[in-house]
Amino acid sequence: MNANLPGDWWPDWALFGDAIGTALLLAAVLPPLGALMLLRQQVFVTAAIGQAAGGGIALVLALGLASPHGHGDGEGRWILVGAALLAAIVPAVLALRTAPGLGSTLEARSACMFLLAGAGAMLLLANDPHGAMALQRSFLSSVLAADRHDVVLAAAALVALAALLWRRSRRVLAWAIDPAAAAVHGVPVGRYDAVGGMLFGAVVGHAITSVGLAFTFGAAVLPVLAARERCRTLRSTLLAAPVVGAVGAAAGCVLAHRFDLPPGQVAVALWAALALLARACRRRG
Amino acid sequence: MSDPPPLLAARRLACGRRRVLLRDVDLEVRPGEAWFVLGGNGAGKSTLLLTLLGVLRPLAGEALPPVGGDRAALGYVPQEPRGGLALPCTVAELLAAALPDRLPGAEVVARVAAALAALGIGGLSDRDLRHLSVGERRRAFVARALARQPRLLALDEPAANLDRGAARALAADLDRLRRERGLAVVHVAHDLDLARRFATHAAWVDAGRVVAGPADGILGRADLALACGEERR
Repeated sequence: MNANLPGDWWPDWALFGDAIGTALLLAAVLPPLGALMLLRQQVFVTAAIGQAAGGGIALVLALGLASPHGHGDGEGRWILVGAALLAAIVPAVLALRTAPGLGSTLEARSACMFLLAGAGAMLLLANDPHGAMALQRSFLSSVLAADRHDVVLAAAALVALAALLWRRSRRVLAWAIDPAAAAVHGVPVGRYDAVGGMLFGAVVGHAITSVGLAFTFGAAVLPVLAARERCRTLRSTLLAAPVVGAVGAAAGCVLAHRFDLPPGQVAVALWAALALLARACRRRG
Repeated sequence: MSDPPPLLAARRLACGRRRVLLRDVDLEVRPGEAWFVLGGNGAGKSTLLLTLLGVLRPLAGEALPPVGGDRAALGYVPQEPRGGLALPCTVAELLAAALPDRLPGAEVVARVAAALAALGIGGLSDRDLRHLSVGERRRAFVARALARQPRLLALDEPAANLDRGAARALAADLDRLRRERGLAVVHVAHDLDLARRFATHAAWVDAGRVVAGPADGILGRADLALACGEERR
């Protein structure tokens, strides 16, 4: 397949289809997760988990289990992806663990995790300039590095999240909105913390290695901030945010192709502009 | 005729988060009773309530499963409800989120409407929680607990940050619902006046001990009045 759709505006699907598909799917799956974290008042947990995933990559590079030059290769890349997933899931489960009376410390926990993982990764690679550059590459929103496996993983995450919200929407919202009351009302909050942490950690860990930190954090937060300015209900916000995310990612890919810019950063800039514009329109309205 | 089984019960209960805060607690809450759990800040009132509700594990003694283990018949209003204020959330959505997923949509709508009407806030159904006053929001969270059609309603300082009139009106509504529905209502509270007006039973939490029983025997004690701040009037 080598169709340019439409004309010069759309990137070559044969070359960039997997990367664009991964970006669109992750831009749809990250906003609902980000919205749940916003409800839990854990805005920065995405960045913290992303940073922890970077710590996993740094550890693998420091131990010599993967080559810093083989970041885009098959086996080497999957070792890095596996390390990032593992390094993201464990702290995500810990970060989301709630206990009665711990609500106000959740964001502080995210901040500690962010700083510790960031500093730890740099210390691990302090004497390995190639490894440090490889880590830096993984944090840059290198959407174009994604391949067919990333599309499958992102699609699986979207299906899992949609199924969870379809089957257990009220329980999930009760868990996110007010875990203390949910626990008394019979929601197994500890189990939801664990499942939510594993899903969130897996999605963020994978996203970091395929589309980078800026795109991951941006997709989790900015489309939700844009949607909340125009929506009147929680339901409509949860439905609109993934649409904003995917449309912004698609527009980012098109504009990046047209003007020869990095697509991840363009998507993040578009989401941020949209969130600010929605805010400004709401104030005027 | 024998008494109905207790909805909450503690026998020689010791509770606390990391260390024992209260010990030798004995009490039973039965249908139709209005309990006020009183005491100073940090005395352990909320810890006691969460232990009785099965969220915290007893450190010693026994707390029977609340409402015979039927959590669907339990409504709870936390001390500082977070309420999803970071995103738009209508009052109706807040109430619906506390109901089981298996309930059909029509039943959810009916329960939400009935709970809001019971507290006189039917007009707030489509309002965003973020735009409500403190008093309206507090009533919305009480309505969330009522929408579960509980047999036991537990409220952790429902009058906090409310003016005296609003606190008294909310307590009066809860008392009316208790009488109409045979609910057991447990308030964690500071306000001795409200307790004197509406309590059938009281528990006084102080210095690691709990004195519990019918309101008449507990609320007249001078040391309780001092602990609840009446000396400042």
